Amino acid sequence: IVDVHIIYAADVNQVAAESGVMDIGEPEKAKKRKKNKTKKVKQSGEVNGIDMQVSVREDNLEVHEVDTANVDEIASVDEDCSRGMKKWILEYRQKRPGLKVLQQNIDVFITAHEEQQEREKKEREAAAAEDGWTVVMHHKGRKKTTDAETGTAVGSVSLAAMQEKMAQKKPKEVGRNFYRHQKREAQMSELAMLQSKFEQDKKRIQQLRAQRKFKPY
Amino acid sequence: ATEIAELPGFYVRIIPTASSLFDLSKLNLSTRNNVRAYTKDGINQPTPRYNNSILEDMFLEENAEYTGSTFANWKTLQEALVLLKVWARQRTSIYSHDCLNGYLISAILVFLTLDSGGSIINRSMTTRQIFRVAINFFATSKMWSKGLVIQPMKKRTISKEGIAHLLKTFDVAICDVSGHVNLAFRMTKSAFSELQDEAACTLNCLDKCRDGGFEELFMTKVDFGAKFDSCLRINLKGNSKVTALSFCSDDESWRVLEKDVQSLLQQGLTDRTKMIRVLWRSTPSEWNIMDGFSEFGSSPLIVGVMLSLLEKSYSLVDIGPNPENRDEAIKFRKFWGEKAELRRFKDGAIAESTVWETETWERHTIIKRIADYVLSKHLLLRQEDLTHVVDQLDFCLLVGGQDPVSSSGALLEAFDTLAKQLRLLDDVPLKISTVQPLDSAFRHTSVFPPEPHPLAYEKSSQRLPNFAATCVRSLEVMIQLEGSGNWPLDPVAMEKTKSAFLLRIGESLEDRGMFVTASEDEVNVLTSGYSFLLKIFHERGLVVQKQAGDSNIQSAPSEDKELFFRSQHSSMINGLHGIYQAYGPVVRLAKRWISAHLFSSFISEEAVELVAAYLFLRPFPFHAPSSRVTGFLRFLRLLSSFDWTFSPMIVDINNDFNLKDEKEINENFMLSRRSYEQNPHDIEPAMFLATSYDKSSEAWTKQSPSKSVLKRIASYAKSSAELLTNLIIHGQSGQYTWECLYRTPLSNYDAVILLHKEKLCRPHHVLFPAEIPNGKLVIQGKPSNDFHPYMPLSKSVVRSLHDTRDKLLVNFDPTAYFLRDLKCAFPVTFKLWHDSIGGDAIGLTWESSKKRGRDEDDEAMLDPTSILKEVGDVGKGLVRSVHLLKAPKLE
Repeated sequence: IVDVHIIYAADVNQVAAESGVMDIGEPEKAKKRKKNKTKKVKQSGEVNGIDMQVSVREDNLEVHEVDTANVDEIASVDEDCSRGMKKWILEYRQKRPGLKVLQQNIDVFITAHEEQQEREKKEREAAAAEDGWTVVMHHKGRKKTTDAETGTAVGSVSLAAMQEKMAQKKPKEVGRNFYRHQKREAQMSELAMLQSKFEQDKKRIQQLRAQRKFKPY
Repeated sequence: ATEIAELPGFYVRIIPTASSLFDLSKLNLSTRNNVRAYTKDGINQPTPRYNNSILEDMFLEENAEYTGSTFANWKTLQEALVLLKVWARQRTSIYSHDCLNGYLISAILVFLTLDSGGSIINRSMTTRQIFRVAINFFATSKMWSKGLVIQPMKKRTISKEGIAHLLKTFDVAICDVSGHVNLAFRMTKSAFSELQDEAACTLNCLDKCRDGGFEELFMTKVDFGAKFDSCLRINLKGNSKVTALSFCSDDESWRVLEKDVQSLLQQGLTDRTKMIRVLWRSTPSEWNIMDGFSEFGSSPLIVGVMLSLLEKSYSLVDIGPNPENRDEAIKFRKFWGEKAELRRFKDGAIAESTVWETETWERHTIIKRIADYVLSKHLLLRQEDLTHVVDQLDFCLLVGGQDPVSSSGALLEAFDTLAKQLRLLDDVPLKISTVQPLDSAFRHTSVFPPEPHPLAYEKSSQRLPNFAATCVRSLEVMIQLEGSGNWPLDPVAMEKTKSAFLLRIGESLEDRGMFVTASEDEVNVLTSGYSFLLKIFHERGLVVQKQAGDSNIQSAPSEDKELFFRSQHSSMINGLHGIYQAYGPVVRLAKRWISAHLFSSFISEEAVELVAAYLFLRPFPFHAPSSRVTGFLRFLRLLSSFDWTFSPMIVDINNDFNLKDEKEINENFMLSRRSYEQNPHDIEPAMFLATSYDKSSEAWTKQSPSKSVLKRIASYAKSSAELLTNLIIHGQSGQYTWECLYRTPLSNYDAVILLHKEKLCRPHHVLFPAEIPNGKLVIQGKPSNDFHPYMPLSKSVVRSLHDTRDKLLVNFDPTAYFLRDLKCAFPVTFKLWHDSIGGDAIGLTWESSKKRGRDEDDEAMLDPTSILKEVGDVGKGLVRSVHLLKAPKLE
């Protein structure tokens, strides 16, 4: 298909060169339509002027301007490994050395990463020690079960288990509409919500007015 | 007078009246015959419609005067009338000869002000109140069945028997001031029920829509193409049935045919449809009286069909009467002709039936087949006189004449098998707790869900084809591991740990006979004919991101955040697909459209899915679409008309937003639009899509599309929507065919890069090979010899399956690599427009030099030709040619 197109374009150009007129093959109708199109663009601005229903035939008619005789070729398509298809396939292959190699790479990275973090930590500690501070090490052994500040028991139950338990417990609170003050508050907050919505709507109507897009037909 | 002549659409209509020409007693509606030729068995039949049309002319002045006096000095009523007229005129199917017109609306309003109409409208009401009351009256009032009488109670001249006669003779009765005329004598039952439906829908809008439904009620066109699920156009010009019709009857001959078509379709489609509306605008819009009747009925008859539940409308068999019920059975046979057959069903019942055998992916065409069969049998129509809009757009979803969706079942099965195996793995340090699909193919919204690949099975026992695709699209699958406290906290280390886990999983799957190919970023497993790309979601990743986000807000969303969004989105859309069966095809058409017009790099798949979801969840002023063409048309219209600058699009799938959520979303939206006042051209995100999992629109549209791109998309959508509307109602004409919707003009770009079609990863997905654009050919290139999208499979493959598999390229897409390298080489020089599904052209538009930084001046100094030569060089082996259409503007 590709070749056909190129040959077609080249042929036409030859004819054009021979007759010495560049603008031969374009029938009157196509020209006219082209003119209309540009006019439309002018009228409705850059984006709105896009005329999507461009026929394919029209495109074909205007191919004639293409000059293939002295066009550059992309060089060394099948030799150059630094760009294009050859590079991409190479890259694809290189990225897939096999599971074992990949696993090793990651292991190496993680060990190095851990070492570096360890080193950084030591450096930090060393820097702190230089300033005259003693670094207190983390206690191993019995886990703390009481919080130092509040004295409440912690850690004996896992947080997740605790939350689950809490969730299972039935809420003892009374229904939402039990006390009069609850009702009143609910009403007030609803009112506030409505008010804010009203304000928003007002703003929106202003925006809509500013747009002035009411044109029913 | 000259001023008026210059106003387009300004008409003076002269309506002749005949106030006292005829004797009233001779025009009695239910008994008298005034068309002598209209007989049955030699006896003259009464001609109520004909009589009424004369009576209408006789009392026109009286009625007009009475109506005028009610409206005079009542401003709110006048305004309400205008609103109602606008409302009705936006709805083509109720503003028609057999339903409403402006005159009838004003008469009904007058009726509602009278005591006989219950005085529902009074002078203390505002315009909006009157509008609402009137719509409510259309939708729900019981008075319609008793007949409306536009006479005050005290001055009533028409007797109860008179009204009863009217109701018996006509479908709807509105008795006028004189008591002699039925103003609604043209209104039909089907038209009236549509009016009621439309009004009920409007009431719903009034309550549920933003800004009191202003957009939906008065600004949105509810035309045939967008309203009905499918439209049928029948060309009856010169049809023998039409020419046989006599003008000498009570009703106009065209109306008789309307009724025939209606009842034929009703009988043929049974409960497959909710509503069938037949309209034949037989009067030409511009008609010269000298032409006589010849031009009448030359425009086609239009039928709109609303489908009922898709299980019903897609059913393969229609069961008729039992053959023992002789009369019914003979009737059935007569109606269906050779299509009727006697069948024995599973439950032992024997019945006359019709069977419409079809492939699963073609079931939406059953309606069309039935309608075509019935109409051509009974109306003696030729095939070319019938155009039923159902499957005209299917061409862009087919591969080799088949819809690849038909293999979705195998895909889901393959996924289930894999998920089960993953959960059972016991040689991985942490167990896999959940497996979730992420790719759009799993939720039926992928344009081309991958089809099983012959080399992706564990054992190659099946017969191999001669050729197989080299590139395999891998489908993303998300897995979650059981909890552990040993995860590293550092984001980089976390990602590496994930890769390590995935490689381990890959290894153990390989031990179980699957083919695994992996790089550090992706682990692909080939099993049961498909390739799956595994990803690990780690909940802690979300928290880590949050902490990091504080210090540096502009960071890209972390891998885990993205996975979270995608999994939420995936399950949400999957649920939607379960409710609306038309959703999948509509999204696929929409996605194909987006990519066919080269917008792939600017709008994500998920964003398209959400916009389409909005159509189904908030369909007002329509009902949710049940067909792909209608859904797609509404998608295009929504895309072109949605007010993205001032409104957020709230996609509320399970109805779980309350006032508070909406307020939160609105606040987020306002926040994002705060910069609007300073710079209206630069707002982010230009498309605000709020969902329950993402109330501040961060997931899909944060970076793109920009406002200018969105504007371009909208104008394309507008143009396509207009073309599609035209195609539905008037059909193809000349060069404007259905294909044009998916053919993009390359002249809208500054430069065009054409690719070698045979070097794309899936050449068979290319819809239309690109034509050579105008403009200057800058450089051309040969195709590479290193890549072929198809590879031959020989018998030896079975033996060396593993080696052959190594030739497969999983998730390899040359176009994607090319675009990546181009963006790398030219980050700010131009924008690239491409088609991710199957396109062999890439559009290029120059970025204005203002956007480019000062330091990029060097790059800008290059002339466009050398830039484009460079572009061709970056894609060597793939690029066929580069064409320059417009040079960048210089400052």
